[in-house]
Amino acid sequence: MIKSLKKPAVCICILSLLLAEAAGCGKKSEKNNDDGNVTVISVGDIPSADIDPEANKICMKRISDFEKKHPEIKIEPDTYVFSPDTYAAMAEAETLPTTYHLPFTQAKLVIDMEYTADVAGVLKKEGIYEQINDTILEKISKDGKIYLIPESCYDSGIALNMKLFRESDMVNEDGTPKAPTTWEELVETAQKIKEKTGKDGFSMPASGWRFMPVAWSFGGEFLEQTPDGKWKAVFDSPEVTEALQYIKDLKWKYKVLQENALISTDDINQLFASGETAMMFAEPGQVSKCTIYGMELGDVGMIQMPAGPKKHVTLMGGTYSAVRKGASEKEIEAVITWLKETSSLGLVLSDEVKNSIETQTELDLTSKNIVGADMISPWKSDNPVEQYRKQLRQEKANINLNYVKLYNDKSNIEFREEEPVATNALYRTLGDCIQEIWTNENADCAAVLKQAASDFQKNHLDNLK
Amino acid sequence: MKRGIFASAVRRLKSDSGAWLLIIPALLCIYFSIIRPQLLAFIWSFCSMKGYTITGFAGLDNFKVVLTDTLFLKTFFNTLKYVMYSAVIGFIPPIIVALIMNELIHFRKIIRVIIYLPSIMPAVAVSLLWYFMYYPDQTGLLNVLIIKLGGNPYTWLQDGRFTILYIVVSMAWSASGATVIYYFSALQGINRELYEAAVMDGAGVLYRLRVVTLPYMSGILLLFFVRHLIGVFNIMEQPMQMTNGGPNNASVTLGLLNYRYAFEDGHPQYALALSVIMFIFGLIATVGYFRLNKKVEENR
Repeated sequence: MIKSLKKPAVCICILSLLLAEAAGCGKKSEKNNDDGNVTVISVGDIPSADIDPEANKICMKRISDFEKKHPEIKIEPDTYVFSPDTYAAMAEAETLPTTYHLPFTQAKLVIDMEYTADVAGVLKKEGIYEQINDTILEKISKDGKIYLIPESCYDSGIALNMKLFRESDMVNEDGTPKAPTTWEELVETAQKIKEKTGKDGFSMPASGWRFMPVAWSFGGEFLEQTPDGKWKAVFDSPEVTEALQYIKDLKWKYKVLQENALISTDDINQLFASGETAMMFAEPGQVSKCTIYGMELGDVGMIQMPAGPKKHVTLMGGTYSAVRKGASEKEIEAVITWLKETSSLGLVLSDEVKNSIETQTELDLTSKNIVGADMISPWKSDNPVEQYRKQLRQEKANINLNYVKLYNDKSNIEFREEEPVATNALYRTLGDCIQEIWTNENADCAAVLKQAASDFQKNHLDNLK
Repeated sequence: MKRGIFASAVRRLKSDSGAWLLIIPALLCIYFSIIRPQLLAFIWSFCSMKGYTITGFAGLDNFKVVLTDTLFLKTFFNTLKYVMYSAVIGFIPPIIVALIMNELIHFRKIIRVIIYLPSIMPAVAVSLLWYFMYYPDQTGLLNVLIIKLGGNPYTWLQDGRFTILYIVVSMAWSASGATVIYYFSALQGINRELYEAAVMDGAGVLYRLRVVTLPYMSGILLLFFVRHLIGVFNIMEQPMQMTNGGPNNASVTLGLLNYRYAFEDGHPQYALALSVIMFIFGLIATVGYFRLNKKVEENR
């Protein structure tokens, strides 16, 4: 009996092995979720019903309304949130949702890996292409193709814990904070607050990303493209050295910085929310995260990035929408239709777009995201949609508008984008420099930057292909 | 002649087909979870890649990039530091604790449970726990103790000279519980008559340790030592959680460098090349481990 079973069993096992191998190493065929009548698209970043039931409810209603209006499109909600750890593996396995969001900082990496679909054709057909801000268009294009869609855009500034500002009598009669406009004033403000409250005046992580606008404002630059197309690290200049010396002085000379040199952004959010630090580099999105740690929205203030001796400049950041590589033309069209009615892609002020803006504002209020601090437009001009959005968010603001007045004033400041190559490695390298000067009082900023620029050139720029 | 060998191999396969059938599930698991990824990693380390898609043959270029990275040597020596510190802090104290436990008459069970408790905590939780113990301002637990004793707060993990040492202490705290239990069970296996005979001959505690305990334990100690070193060589999570390799790369390891190549910089091909280099070091240690194991088995 056993003998008679041996051969078929061995055959089944070998067959299973071959099938499993084929499934494991073979690339999945392109998933086309359109059966002619209904196009199915999955949409990422939908809040989980278990974690945020209220926000999930609003999103599900939005999906249901959209499907009623567009019976030819079916939306599958997906809780996927972009993470660099899992992104490439999921993209390769084609398990990403049809559309999802990703931050500006990851755009270059994603475009280089070619894991998103070219949406240029549909954007041109819909008249969206012409509306995209030139700087952003350059960032999302490669070889005439467009790989990402602008969603939202912000500028880095300084967040203020107004509770500490009030305790330090640092509020003007008109209700606006007595806020710093230059880096010198930032030190003075931080020192006053430390003196009056005993709390740290300013906190920042050892982050290259945060250091960039400071260095730019001192007249520094990081990378330079030579005529032969190669890249050169130029951040060992006297200007960047001066900026790094300023960051060093915050700790050793002025003693206004947090003690921990290895602190993460999330830890700083906790310090800020609990009133242990008065100021930090931030964007509206980061300040919103502080509400998780019990920050009262009434204590939130924001100001523009202070000006340096050479420039008044800040770093732009934001969110893009992406369409999964391999999506069919119909799926891309369905995604654009969805985005036009649910995101800033709706460029004509129709009832649907108004309704979408109202729903998004409601969603932000429910999720305790700050409403009232202005974003910047990823589009060429302030169109009626942007004006309506701004007006509505001011009306529904959940923060004191006087406290963010100086952030909402976007005049007289230059907006700059990140460096175009080896971006993450550059941030890490600069972060290492900051850690060095914060943990070694005798560190020489010029020598630290010289070594870092030389290593960065050798390890990253010389290996660019 | 060749045909004869082939026929004999087929005959043997046929006669052993039942045994093969039984080991096929295990073979499949080993193939898919260990052999295949390692083979692919080895092959892909010689390729140029875009994301995880192979775009061509790169020869030894990826290895050249990794080996000439100005961080490679520093990272390699950092990793050796982890191994060396761990060889002392993570290896010797568990032996001492196991020996003390073996000599205890009362409360043995409760002490065993207490000692094992840190081992059931997830590595991330342990790293966070120690991160807050080492916190450099007045709120860090260790600094609170120092201040109570009249001292000034110390920078702990920010002191680049000793960052690795402090991380290793947290690792040893977490892992030593399980190691103590292993050693303790080995100690329990020693024939009590040997101790009784030694006592009758007038041997004290230290002499008994030298002539009975250590000779019997030497095999298992050696094996644990080598396994411990191989494990620490691949360390990544703890420095990532506690310092992210800082300050200024003072605690970065080969494992963390590998992570940076793959996930932060988008160069999986360099990560694979580094994996192959780490695999070669691991292989050398594993060969040594098996040789030692063989010797230990022969001496039993």
